[in-house]
Amino acid sequence: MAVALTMLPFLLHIFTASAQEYASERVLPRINPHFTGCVSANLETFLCRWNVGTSKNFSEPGDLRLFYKNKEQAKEWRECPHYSTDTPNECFFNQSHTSARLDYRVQLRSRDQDIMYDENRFELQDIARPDPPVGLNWTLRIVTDNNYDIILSWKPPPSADMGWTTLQYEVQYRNATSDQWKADGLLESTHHSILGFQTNGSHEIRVRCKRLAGEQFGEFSQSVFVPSEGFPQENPHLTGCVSNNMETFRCSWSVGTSRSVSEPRNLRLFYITKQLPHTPPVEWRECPHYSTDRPNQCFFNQSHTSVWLDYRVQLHSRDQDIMYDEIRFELQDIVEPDPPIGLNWTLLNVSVTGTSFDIMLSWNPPQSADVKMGWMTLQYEVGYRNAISDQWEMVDLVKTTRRSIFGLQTNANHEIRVRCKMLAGKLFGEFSESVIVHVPSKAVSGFTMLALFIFGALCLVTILMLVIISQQEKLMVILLPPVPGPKIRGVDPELLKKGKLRELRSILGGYPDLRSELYNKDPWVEFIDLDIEEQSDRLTDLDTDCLMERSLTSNCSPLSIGFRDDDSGRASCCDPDLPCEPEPSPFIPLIPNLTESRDSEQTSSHVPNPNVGEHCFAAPGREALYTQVSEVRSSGKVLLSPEDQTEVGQSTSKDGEKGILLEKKKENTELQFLVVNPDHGGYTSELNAGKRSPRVSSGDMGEPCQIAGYSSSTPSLSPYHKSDTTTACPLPPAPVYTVVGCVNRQYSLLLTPNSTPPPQLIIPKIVPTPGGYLTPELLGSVTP
Amino acid sequence: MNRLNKMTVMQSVVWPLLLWPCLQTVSVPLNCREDQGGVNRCPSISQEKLLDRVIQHAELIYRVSEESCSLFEEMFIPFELQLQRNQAGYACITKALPIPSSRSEIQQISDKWLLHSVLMLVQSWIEPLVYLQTSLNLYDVAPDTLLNKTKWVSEKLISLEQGVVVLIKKMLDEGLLTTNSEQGLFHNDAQPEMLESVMRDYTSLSCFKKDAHKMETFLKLLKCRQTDKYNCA
Repeated sequence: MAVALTMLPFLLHIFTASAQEYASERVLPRINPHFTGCVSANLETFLCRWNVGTSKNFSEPGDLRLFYKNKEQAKEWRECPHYSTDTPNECFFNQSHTSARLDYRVQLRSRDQDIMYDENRFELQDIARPDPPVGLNWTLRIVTDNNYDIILSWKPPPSADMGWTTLQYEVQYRNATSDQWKADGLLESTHHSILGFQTNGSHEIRVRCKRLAGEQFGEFSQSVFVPSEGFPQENPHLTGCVSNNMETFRCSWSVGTSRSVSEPRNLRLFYITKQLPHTPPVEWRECPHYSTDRPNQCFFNQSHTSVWLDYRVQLHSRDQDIMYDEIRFELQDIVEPDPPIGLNWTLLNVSVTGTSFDIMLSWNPPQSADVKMGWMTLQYEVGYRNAISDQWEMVDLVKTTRRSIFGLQTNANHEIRVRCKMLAGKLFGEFSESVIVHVPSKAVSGFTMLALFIFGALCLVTILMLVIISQQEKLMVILLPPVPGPKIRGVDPELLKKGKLRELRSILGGYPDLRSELYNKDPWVEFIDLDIEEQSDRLTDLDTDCLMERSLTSNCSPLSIGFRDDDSGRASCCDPDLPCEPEPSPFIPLIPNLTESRDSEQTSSHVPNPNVGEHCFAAPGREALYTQVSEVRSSGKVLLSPEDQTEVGQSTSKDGEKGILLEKKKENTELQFLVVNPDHGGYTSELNAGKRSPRVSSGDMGEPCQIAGYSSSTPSLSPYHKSDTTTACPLPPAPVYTVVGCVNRQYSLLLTPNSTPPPQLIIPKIVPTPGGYLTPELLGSVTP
Repeated sequence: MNRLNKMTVMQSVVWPLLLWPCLQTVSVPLNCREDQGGVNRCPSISQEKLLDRVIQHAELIYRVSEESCSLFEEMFIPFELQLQRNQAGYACITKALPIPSSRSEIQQISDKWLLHSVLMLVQSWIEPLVYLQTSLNLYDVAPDTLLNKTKWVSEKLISLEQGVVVLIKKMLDEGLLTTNSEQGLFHNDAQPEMLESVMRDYTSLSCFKKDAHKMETFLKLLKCRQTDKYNCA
């Protein structure tokens, strides 16, 4: 049982297989290989095709072989000259193996040629089947809204040789919706019109051809489709009437897409004019002259033309049953003059730079227009453009036949043209022929000159700028002179800088007489004179009163002297750098000494005065000798300025110190001065002062005349006289100055008493101006 | 409306300014009144110059009338009706005047006839223009330029008439009365009924334009004959 069950599918399979085989054998009859057809397109070549059938498997090439024989070679069978490579089961016979009007026998055999499956016998022309026509084209001809005609055209197949064969064509068409093809019979021309198409759908059209007296049609061409909508319908219509001279005119029309396109005189033109009321009414007249040179045009000559009258022109069909179009006009409104002639130009001028030029354009009115009589008055419009651009520039209308155009570019082609219209008309005529204008730019001399000039100007400007920049400081000095720096006469400007305060103080605190003009007389150097008024606390300008003890508290204003300040700058106490401390402090200790000494001297002076006459030498020739104490030094020494002194310019210490050397002239040997050695600023104490004198004497004064140090006169006068004092120099009294009466043997100054406060040391005020100083000449009057 | 007003204001300012030079040259009045005594008080002016000035006048009138007509057409006439201004049923006022209608015809008529034709034309339009002006003034949206132009034209026409009268007197030695004789022309030819006054005015304007062209052409032909008799014929 199990065995049977397992066997069952096997048995079933066998049965079904055999059944299948049986069935296939029954259903499909055995088909041998056979020819499907031989066909020639052009009677010079042909090909044969066969079907392999179903009996055996003939897929291998070469399983089936074709042999042919024609009447020429009656004896032998030849094999196919060329089995087609692109299509299987096809054999191609080219021209060399093809001959017309020959009887051909083709056989299909197996590989071994033992079996002959099929045979065909034909003549070449019997199998001729032309290729389908190509280039099927259609145009539409509208009859009415729904009805139209199609005009077809095509080309014969390229393989057919028309001289050889005459082809006949068949056109088939059908409505796209239906399946039924309609044929229009056989044609011999390559065009055809299908009439009476209804626009109720699109249509499909195709063509095929066959040989004249042949039997078989070739294949159909590719179908073309004619759409049902969207094509314009155009009736014949008038395109316009135009006149060029207001004496004649032409009317033209277009036939549209009418079916009567090719037939002449199917359209007729009629016209009528409104005439004057008292002339008989005019009827419609036909075109006086249908143009011969141009179709669809009617020419009205002068006898049929009237101006200022109403025209009606109509286009009719041949039988006048249909009126296609009508227009109305008056002659003067349809005038479009001919283009002007004789367009000419002359050069007016070229610009300086040579880049643009002006021309004068002139032309003549068209010959057809009678301008001379005034029949037509024309207005002209000139248009010009650069040849490279597309835009035309139009110039305003002119009534004259000349026009100037400005600003055209040199070295470029310009195209100019003119057209005209009637005065107060609306329609322009055609443009005239263009005239080309070309002006080469002249030598660029003018331009180069300008360029050179500009370049030169730029160079100049650059140089100027460089000069200005390089000489900036100097220019600045010239244009904006600097404020002169601080300069005090007799004071080295170095001292005015920062850090040199002490020197400055000493200098400024010194007596003006003993100051720098002795050694630094530079008249051209502008000194800043001190402004005494601003320095109320400076005791450098002490009045002699101030030297008196008692007058300390009095109002001694050092600045009582009017201070003339010529200098613009003032190195004064107003300058923050300069000290403005009460200078009198160093003075003060001196003053009691001074007064002391004065007093002592006073006493002493009184005494010896009368007696000292022998010792006192009066200055010759002078009533009283004045001298000035130019400086009272910190050493206590007094510097007197000799009258006859020569230039004081010999300053010993040039190292910025104010050293005052009193130089006595050699001739004034009677005068004895004590020249105080310049010391280092300030005043030393009286003790020191005395010590200095020998130094002084040994120093650089070189003058015998010495004056005993004032400050330490009393105790120390004696040591002073080590110096070679020769004479005593009595000095005459003066209200301002303290006169040194004489110098006694002890070499102490004996100040002469006078009405003014008794001999006092002369501490002269600081004289504001150089003029206030005692000049050396005046010192000569100082009596020892 | 504002824009229209502005435009019209501008135009009414610009237009007289533009015309000013023309007016200067053309608008010198000719005090040629014919008194009863027949004393001719015309300032002496040569015939040639007079003819030139008359021609200038006529040309200017023609141009301005053409501009007025275009303006009117633009504003009021739809395109379809523009070509139908001479529809059957109406015609220009001066259709009754025997005016030659072709160049050859015109060349054949005499100077005298030319001048008389011109005078007839001029005189027959003086009153209708006044009527046209009043009609245009009734429009709501008539631009001022249009009104000014028509006004100008009607004024100039009167001076043209005077000029032509003087010319006739000089050239033909005829005396003519002015203005009054042809007044009846306007009333004689009954205007056919218009559906709209717009069409009537349009017809009026275009007819006048045509007649102005005629005047200008005749006068120019006259001038040509004066200067060069042989070439003009």
